[in-house]
Parts: sequence; C-alpha cells; structure tokens
Amino acid sequence: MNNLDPIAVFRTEAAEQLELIEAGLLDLTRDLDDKGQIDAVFRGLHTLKGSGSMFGFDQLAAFTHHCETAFDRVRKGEAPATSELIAAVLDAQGHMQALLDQPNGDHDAMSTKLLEQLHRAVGREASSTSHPTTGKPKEAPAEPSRRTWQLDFRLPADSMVNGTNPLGLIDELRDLGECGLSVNSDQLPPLDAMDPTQLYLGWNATIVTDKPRSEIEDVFIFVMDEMVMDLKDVTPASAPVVPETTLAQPAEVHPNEVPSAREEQRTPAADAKSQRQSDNVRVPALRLDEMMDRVGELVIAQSRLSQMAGSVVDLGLRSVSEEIERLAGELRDTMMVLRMMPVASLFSRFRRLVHDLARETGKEIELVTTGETTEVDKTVIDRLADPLVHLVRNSIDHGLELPQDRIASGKPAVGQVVLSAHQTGSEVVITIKDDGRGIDRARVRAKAEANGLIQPGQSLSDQELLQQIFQPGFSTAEKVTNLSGRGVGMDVVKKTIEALRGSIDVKSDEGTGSEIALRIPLTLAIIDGLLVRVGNGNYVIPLSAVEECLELSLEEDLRSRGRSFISLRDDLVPFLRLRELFRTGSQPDPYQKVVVISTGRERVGLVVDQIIGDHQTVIKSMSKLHDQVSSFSGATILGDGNVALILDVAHLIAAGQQQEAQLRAAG
Amino acid sequence: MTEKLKTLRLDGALTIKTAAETREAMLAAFGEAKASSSPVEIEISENCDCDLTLPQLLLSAQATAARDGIALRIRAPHRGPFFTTLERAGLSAAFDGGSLTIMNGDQR
Repeated sequence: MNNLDPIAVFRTEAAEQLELIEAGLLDLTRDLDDKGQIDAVFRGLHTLKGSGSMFGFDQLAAFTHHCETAFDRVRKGEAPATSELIAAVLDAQGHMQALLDQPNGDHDAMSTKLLEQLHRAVGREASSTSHPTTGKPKEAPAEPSRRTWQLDFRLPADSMVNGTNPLGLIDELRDLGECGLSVNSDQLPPLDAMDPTQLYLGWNATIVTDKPRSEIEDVFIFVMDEMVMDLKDVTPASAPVVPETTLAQPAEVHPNEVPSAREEQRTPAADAKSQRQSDNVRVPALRLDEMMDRVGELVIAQSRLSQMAGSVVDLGLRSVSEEIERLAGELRDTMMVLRMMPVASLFSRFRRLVHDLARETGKEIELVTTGETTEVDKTVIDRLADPLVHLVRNSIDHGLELPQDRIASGKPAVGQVVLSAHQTGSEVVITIKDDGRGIDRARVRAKAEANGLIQPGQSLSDQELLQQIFQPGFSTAEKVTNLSGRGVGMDVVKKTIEALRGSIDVKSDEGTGSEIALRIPLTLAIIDGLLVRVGNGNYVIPLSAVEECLELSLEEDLRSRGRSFISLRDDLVPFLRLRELFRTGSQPDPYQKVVVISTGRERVGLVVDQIIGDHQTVIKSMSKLHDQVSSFSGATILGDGNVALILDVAHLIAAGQQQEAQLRAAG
Repeated sequence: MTEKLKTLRLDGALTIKTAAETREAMLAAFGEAKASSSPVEIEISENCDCDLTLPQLLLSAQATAARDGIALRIRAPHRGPFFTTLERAGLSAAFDGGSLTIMNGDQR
C-alpha cells in the first residue's frame, strides 16, 4: 500500500469529490434554498481547488476557483441560487472531470465559454470579477487592509508518519505575510515515553497579512479535519476596517457568528465524513482478488484436513480441524463482505444521466431509486454500470412519452423511471421500470421479421417475442437519436449479464410501461453447496437454491415412473432423475433422495442417490471446451482431491419446467 | 569521583526513518551517564540530514535530563540542516535557557 501513486490517489479522491458536488447540485435543483447543500457544494469546490492546485492540476484549480467564488457569493447571500446557476455549475462540473482526465489538454475555449455562462448566471458582469481565464487562479479581490491574525494550531500526531511536512506548512504561513512563531512543547513526553515519529509540538503564530482568512485556512486544507486550530482576527482597533469583499470575513462580525470554511468542515456531516475517511483504507481491488484466491485455496485445504481428521481417532486432531474449519469459514465470510459494495454507488450516477436526458429530450422525468443499501460484489457493480446506463437510456428514449402525449393518454406529465435492487437468496435482482408507452409487440415482430431474425408469421410466445430486442442488430427506433436507436447495445447488455452468470427478464404492458429485471449472482467466487452423489460422481447443488430434501421411496419411484411428479403438500412438483440426465449407467440406490430446488416461484426436484452434506465450494470456472455443457455452472475440488461439478440451478429448473409443460400438454 | 563525559555524536540521516534509533542512542547514553554520574554531550554534525523529529527528540532529551539530574549539553553548528530546521520551525527559542549551544564556525 506504500507504493500508491499520489496522483492516482488524488484522481480517485477528486472523482469522488466531483460526484459529491454533482449530487449536491442535483439536490439543489429540487430545493434551491437548501443551505446545507449550498455549503456542501461550496466545500466540495473549495477542496477540489486546493487539492488540484497542490497536485499540479493547475487548469482544474483555476477553473474550479471561479465556480467556488460564484458559490461563495450564494453561500453568503450576495447572490441567489437560481436554476440557471445550478445548471451552469453542473455543466462546469462535467468540464472539471475533463480537466481532471486531461490536465494538460487544451481546454481554454470550453473553459471560457462555461465561465461566461457561470458569470451570467451568478448575476454579475464577467469583467467585474477576475476575468475568465484558464491560467493561474486570479486572487480574490485584494483586501486593502492588513490584518493581524492569531493562529494557534496543533497538527495531527501522526501527520509526519502520513507524509505531511509541518515545516512546509509553516513555510506557507510565512509566505502569507509577516509571521512570528513560537512553539508549544507542553505535550512533549520524556524521552523514555515518547514515540519519536509522532508530532507532539504545537505552534502559536501571529500573522500580519492582507490575505483573507480563507488563505490562512487553505494552508491546512489537507489536515484540517484532524487538527486543532484556532484562528482569531486580532487586528488592533485602530487599524482601518474596510468593508469585506468576496472571500474575507467581516471584521465587525464575531468569528463565531459567521462560520468560516474551516468551521463548516466541522458540521456533523463533515465530521462523519472525516470519521469515515480515517476509518477506511483504500485497497486496490486486485489485492482483494489475490486474497480471495488464497482464501479459496485455504477453504479447499481445510476441507481436506477435515476429511482426514474424520478418518482417524485422534481427538486432538479433530479439535484443531474443527477450529480451523470455523476460522476458515469466518475468514471466507469476512472476505466476501470486504468485496461487497452497496448498489447506491451505482445508482447515484443515474441522477445526472436522467437530469441531462430530461433536458435533451424535453421530457419530464422523475428518477426513483429503492434498495440502494443492497450489497453486491464490486466486480459485479463495475460490470453492471454500462448495461444499466443503456437500459435507463432506452427507457427514457423509447419508453417515456413527451409530457403532452402523457397528459393526452391520461397519465401524469412527469414520467417515472424506477431503479430498484433487492436480494433474493444468492441473487440480486436489479429492475429498471418505467411508466411509459411499453413495448409495441407489432413493431418488434415487424422489425424482427424484416431483419430476418424470425420467420414471417412464426409462432412465438410473448416472452420469446420480447426477447427479440436483445438480438444483435435489432432496433425499433424509427429515428436514430443521440441516446439510443443505433441497434447496438441491447445485445451487448444481454451478453454482459450472461457473462456475470445472470439473466434478463422483460415485462411490458403496452400503454403502461416496461420492466426489465436483471438477476445477478451475489458473488462470483465461493458458495455454500449441498454435496450429493449420483451414480459414482459427486455434484454440488448451491445451498441457497435448496428448499428441502425428501426420501423417494421405491414405491413412490415406481408409481411416479413416466410422470416424474411428486406430490409436495398438495402441490405437484416435477422432478428430474439426475442419474438418467447424466447417463451414469448405474443402478439406483434403494433409498433415493429428492432435493427440491427453487428460484422464486418455480420448483424442481432433483433425484440423487445420496446426500453427503453441506460443503463450502470454491467455484472454479470450467474451460472453454465445456462452454456448451449447460447443466453445470462450474466445478470445485473436494477435500479428497476429487472434482465435483456444480449444478446450474436455473438451467435445471428450466428443464424441469419444460418437462412439466410437455407432460401437461400430453395430458 | 571523576566524571567522564559521555559524547553522542549524531551524524548522517536523522529523520523520521531513523528517529527510533536516535532515541535509543540517546536513552543508552543517558543510562550510562546516570550509572556513572557523568555528563552527556550530544553533538550534531553540520552535514546531517534532519527533519523535525530531531529537534523534537532533543527538546524531550533536554526535559528528561533535567528530570533525571543529568547534565546535558547539546552542541550544534550555526549552519547546516539542523540549524535551518530550528529556524524554519520557530524552535530556536524553545531551547532558550536550556542546554543547546549553537556554535559559530569551528568552535568546539
């Protein structure tokens, strides 16, 4: 972790800061008077400017400075928060991302254009303030009077360990003006009790400067949350007091009455954030993957140990084996949690998308998100982002109608897109639902026929017809827009979801809207499985899909032959004889078992010879040679070194349902 | 009883990376000095590489020596990284009335 590139860390943090700024701005579009959000956006811009400048992103710092100044006026009540201003800063926020991505690119034209827009929005002539430019940040209007500041500060004890050089900060203070310093060493422990890498010294500084308070505070911007700082204006009463301008604090006002930027950092939200920051550690995802592999191997080794311990009469060995089993299980669970992220991080980016699309299309759209706390593996989140963007764009472009059309068809003018997530068993279901016009079946059919995807007049179930939209090259949009309608995307969406071992369901009612549900496995690495034997082979059934296990008596087996249904509490459940399905060529055990598995409402029984027990399963993907084998989703290595195949529950249930349908059709 | 001066010469890297070793060296010198009731002299080299951890250690050493009744003298040159660090940190006055002697030129 020591070799993290500071620039890369800055980029990551800046991107997060930009997201926070964007979220704040989007909240403000709903409530322009939300003081908390205005302050939050200002703080975000302030931090971005400061850190950008420190890491050499001069264009970003210069550009952000103007947005910060504009928001500072709003914050101080000198300018109103208008939707024009929010829109201008939102546009600017997008540009900041570009400045972050390409710090040395030529952004002058765009910067100037956006800054002019910003200055118009904030209600002052562009020329009356620092002129829009992309050079070094122009100073805030110079404060004509020199003020005397008393600054007492104590940096965080671990600041030197964390790479902060207190001498550098003191040098920066000296650069602000005349600076008298004295050291406070009253917290310095004796030699035998001190940790020499910690900082125990504090400083008292008297600074005489014409720079505003914010510049003194800016010196400490990166340690502000953890340090102790007391900054007082102690300008003698005889000094000329000049009316305040943009950034400086009014001398007449007691510092406690008007919160300074630093004091605002101390809001509960900021405190919580700083708490989070100090409690969290950034770890590259790659290292988590490596660790996951190690844990996987450990689980396999533990499983072997467990089997060996079970086969000898050595209580000591058994006790150690059980202890290791417990620890390996806990380690596995902890490892799984480490990789989990709430889908909120995925959903939040759609607010901006919807906001922009509403502006582009002239549609009125409300985005509703639910289940943001649902957690999914980080890899899954990363890979879901693009498909979801496409689906949301499709809903808005093809699904939602223009306000006048909605009113004409008796709907509210504002269309709704609902993004929701919830967990069912070992899957997460993410749905994108809109209340638009729904999918026009006739058009889908016509298009599919025209593209040769189906035969003219071919009989298709409703679901099969709807699935046509995921065919490569399919598009029902009559005109190509910026958003969608290029006939690429939906097939890519489907491939991505399938690559995650997930599935897509489409529901759509013409006139009332569509719903697309993505079912994604919660994790991609380890599952709890039920180990069963069929013939001479061992197989693993994902435990989350197992509902119950029953004995299939010889009598019931004979009675059901040809029908393959069992009666389960007055419900007929189809079952599959795995021995037949896998063509083991062996005789059935006299007491076969039925493992009832389900996904949601659909249930299927699997007839096996023996249930061995539960088994922690590290999923090893199968080779490309086995791509066509659909009954298995992977393989695992058992404690004795043998391989067991993992059954693909969704596929087996589909097969069972198909068998049921055929039998029902046959009467 | 004749007292023999314990001299601890600090040279080379005297930064946060070596601060623990420097502290150990100071403690060892104090330990010996205490056992033999001899005074301790810490001599800072003009060519050392130092950061804020060194003056902080010396301030602590000064207070510890006073507590333990050890006679301590710190000698440092009037130029070089240590002197610059003291100046930058506003620390010169912190040693006032204590054991630090800033030497001019080659004065020993």
